[in-house]
Amino acid sequence: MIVPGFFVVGILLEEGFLRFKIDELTSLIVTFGLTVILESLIQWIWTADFRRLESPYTRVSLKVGTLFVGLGGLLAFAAAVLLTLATWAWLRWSYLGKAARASAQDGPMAGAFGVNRRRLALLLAGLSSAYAAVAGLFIALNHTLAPSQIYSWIGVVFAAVIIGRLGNALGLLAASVFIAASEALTMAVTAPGWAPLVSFTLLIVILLFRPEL
Amino acid sequence: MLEVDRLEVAHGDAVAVWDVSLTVRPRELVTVVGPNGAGKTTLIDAIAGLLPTRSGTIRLDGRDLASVAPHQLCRHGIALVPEGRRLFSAMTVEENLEIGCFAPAARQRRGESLARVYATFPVLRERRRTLAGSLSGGQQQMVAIGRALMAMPRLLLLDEPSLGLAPQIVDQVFEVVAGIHADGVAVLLVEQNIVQAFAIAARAYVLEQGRIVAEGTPSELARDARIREAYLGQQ
Amino acid sequence: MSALRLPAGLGLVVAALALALVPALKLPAFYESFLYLVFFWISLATSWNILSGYAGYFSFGHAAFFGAGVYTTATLTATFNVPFLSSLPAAGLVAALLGSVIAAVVFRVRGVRGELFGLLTLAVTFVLSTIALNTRLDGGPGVFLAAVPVPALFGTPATTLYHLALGVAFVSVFAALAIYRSRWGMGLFAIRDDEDVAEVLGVPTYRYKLAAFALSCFIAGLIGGIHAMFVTYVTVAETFAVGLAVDAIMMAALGGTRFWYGPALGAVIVTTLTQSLTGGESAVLNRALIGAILIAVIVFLPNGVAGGFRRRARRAAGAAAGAVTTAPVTVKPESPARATSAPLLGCVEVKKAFRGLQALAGVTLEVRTGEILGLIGPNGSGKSTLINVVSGYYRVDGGQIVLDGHDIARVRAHRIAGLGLARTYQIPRSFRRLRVVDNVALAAMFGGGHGRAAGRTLARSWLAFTGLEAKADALPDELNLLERKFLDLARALASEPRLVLLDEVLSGLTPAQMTDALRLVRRIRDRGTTVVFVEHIMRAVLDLADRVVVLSGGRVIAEGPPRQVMRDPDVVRAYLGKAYA
Repeated sequence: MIVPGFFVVGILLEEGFLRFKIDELTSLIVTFGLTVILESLIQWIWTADFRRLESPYTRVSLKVGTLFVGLGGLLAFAAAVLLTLATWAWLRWSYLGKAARASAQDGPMAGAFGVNRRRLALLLAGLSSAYAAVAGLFIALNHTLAPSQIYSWIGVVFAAVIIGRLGNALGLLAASVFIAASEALTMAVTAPGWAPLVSFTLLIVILLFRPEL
Repeated sequence: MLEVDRLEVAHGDAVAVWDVSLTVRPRELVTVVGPNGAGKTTLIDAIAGLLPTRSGTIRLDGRDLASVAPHQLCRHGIALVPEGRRLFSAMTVEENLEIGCFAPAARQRRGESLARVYATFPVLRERRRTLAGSLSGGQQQMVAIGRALMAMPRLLLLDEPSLGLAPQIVDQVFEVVAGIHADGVAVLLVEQNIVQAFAIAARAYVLEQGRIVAEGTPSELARDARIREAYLGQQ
Repeated sequence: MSALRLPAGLGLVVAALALALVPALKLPAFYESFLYLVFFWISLATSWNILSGYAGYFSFGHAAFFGAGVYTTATLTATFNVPFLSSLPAAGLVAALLGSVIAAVVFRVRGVRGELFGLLTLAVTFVLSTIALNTRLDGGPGVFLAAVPVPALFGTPATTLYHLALGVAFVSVFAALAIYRSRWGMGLFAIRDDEDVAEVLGVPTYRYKLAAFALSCFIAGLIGGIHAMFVTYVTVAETFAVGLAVDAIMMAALGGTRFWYGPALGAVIVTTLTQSLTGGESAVLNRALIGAILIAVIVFLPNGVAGGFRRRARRAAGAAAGAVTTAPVTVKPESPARATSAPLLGCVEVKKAFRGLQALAGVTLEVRTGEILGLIGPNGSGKSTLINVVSGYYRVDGGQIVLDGHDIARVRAHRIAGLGLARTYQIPRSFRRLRVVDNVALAAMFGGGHGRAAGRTLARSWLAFTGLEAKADALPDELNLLERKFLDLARALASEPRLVLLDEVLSGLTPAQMTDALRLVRRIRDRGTTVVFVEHIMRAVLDLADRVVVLSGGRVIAEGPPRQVMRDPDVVRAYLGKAYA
């Protein structure tokens, strides 16, 4: 119910951007404005206290070999992998997916062969929003929530954008796993606090040396 | 079949094409030649719906194309092989061809269209899973033509197919174009290379600085002083 | 326009002095802390704008440098017992140093612009916060500063902080104003509009961006140091908060990033609104309201509130009408160039390839002083590539290019401009946010080495030369195509080049406009500038050129007087094929 709802939100937002001819940097500011609004609304409705989504899933732990894995985390991982694979397959084999790839490369030419670019843009915006909603669901499942926590996820989001520029869904999966693994490794080897440093330094290096990515 | 009447096309406020009128009859191969910068690509982009027109009309089978949305044009039987080929270089040859028949009517005939394209260009069947960007210039041109053919056009628009290709490849490309025309497709060919264009065209127009300065059959125009003037200036 | 100059700076000083006296009024403490917050946000928003607003490099890492200042002061005062006031310059310097090092590396990479720069600066915030959290700088529990003594300069310690914040806010706005009116500022605005063109015109883009970023970080560090003492308890989470950077950006955007007072205006508006809407339930919703206002402003007033004022003022003044005249005008008389045989520009075996396509396969030609040389050739022959390579936009793969005795093959574009070369573009690339006169003045200042005032005067005389003097105060978007081409020409001429490269200057013009343009090109040569022009329109080439060079397939296949060259069988074959030769 939530996910389709956000799909619609994404479409509405994109329609707004297209209609008001808002460029990329401005759209960044607009979405930050929206974040501020949402943060206040959330705080007003749910107060600023930390909350935890309690569900039977969060308390279960599975035993995999000698490791204990939280079910919540496992579900999140499984969902991520499934979604990525599904997206990759969709992009690779479905006609609409091919249209999306073609459009990304040379929009007017895709249009010349019948691709309705405006509708495609709306669809993709909706999907992107829906995916974010899914991520949000799993965050809610696995972490404590508070309005002040919104910004702590910005780093992850931006990292996703940088990795996402890779364009290739499978490469994206690999890169995300790599970064998460490097964080986890850092946490195991040194103090947990250093983990974000590794991942962000990696990102900075990628940006500097391969900005076309 | 295609009637262009007093067309004017501008880029911003730079007028590139003035008062251009031309016709293409069904199953006819017409060429528009002219020097660099004459406005040939602008003209063909406008007919293909990629550029807005300032005034004048473009009619296909009597229907005014101005009322048709750009992404609907291929449903009316127009397909474009653009200047510089503009392939989707990160996609495979077969995927490029498949985009060609994205429109529903063409998509239904996908299998047979694909077979026909591979028959015309056997080398593409071998390379169908190769990335389009890694092909040679001549092979890319074939993919671009094949992609347009997948849309099952009644009118094929070709923009400078000889650009950047070696002479032998150019010969092959023009052979293919002549073959497509022989199958019954009308062709509007825009070219800088007069020799090749005149060899296969039934009629020709000469475009200079955005205006048509001569028209006729290739034999009428051959060695015409106006062509020399257009390309080389007044002698 | 100049009448307003002195008052603005003076007004700032007066306002600052007035505000400095507020504590003497013995108002309730609320007002002082409110004003402190205003100064705080003015400093942050304005300092952010110096690089990001002026030059267009949106940084999301302002919190990093703010935090650097906070922790420098915290560490120096708490751990090393350095007096608070002495720690402040250190706070600023540490932040500035950090910013400079990052900028020095990042600005060298051509591809990192726009959202990539934003992402990178954001990553810096996270890196710094992690470092702070895990080392002795903070370590987790935060740093307590309540025990650090704050000198009571004009009353209470709180008043000291008030005055310090006022000082930093004043410095930041004054700096913004000074830069806005300086060469530096003009260069930054040009960078925002079109960095590559700015570079080619002679703007030292790297240096300017680096300095702007360093200053921006310095101010952020300063206010950080002060704020550390204001809150007396410093934590990583509160300090390196991305929300802080975002708020500063939003304030600057709300006020108008193009203006020196825009961010300050935005800061005042937002802080005032936040305070006035406090009370009861709406305390939480007021943030939502502010977010909504921001979105509304951005969508309908892309240049912020200040931009809205400017637009209203402009409409009131009325648009200045004026047609382009090509009446002869007096410009500084130069010795008219006689075509000599001494080569001004020489290319020897110049090669350039792009991803397997050999655009230039060994071009050898020379341009003689005082001539008008036509560069022609079929599509794909390499003409535009040659111009791009000579002007420094692309680097050559091989061969030599010598301009007036200087080897320019591997020299950066802005230095080539300084050596006396200028170019125009097929599609005019004006700086859309600068007025017509400033477009030209920029070239005079950076290419010709003149000061600001001299640059403006020269600009006006060049505009007169090209017949655009009536449109000097208009924006480029208000000009028609011929006028924009003439603006491009005026800009190219303003750096007083010895050689000017014209790239298809006649394309898109009507025959009447073409006659005007040709006349202007001849006057340019008669003034003493050598001209090389790329053109397709053969009638024009025959009319205008003294000599013609024909390129085909990346090589020179013929050169000589126009009519002779166009009859050369090789040339005819290149254009028309064997049949016509």
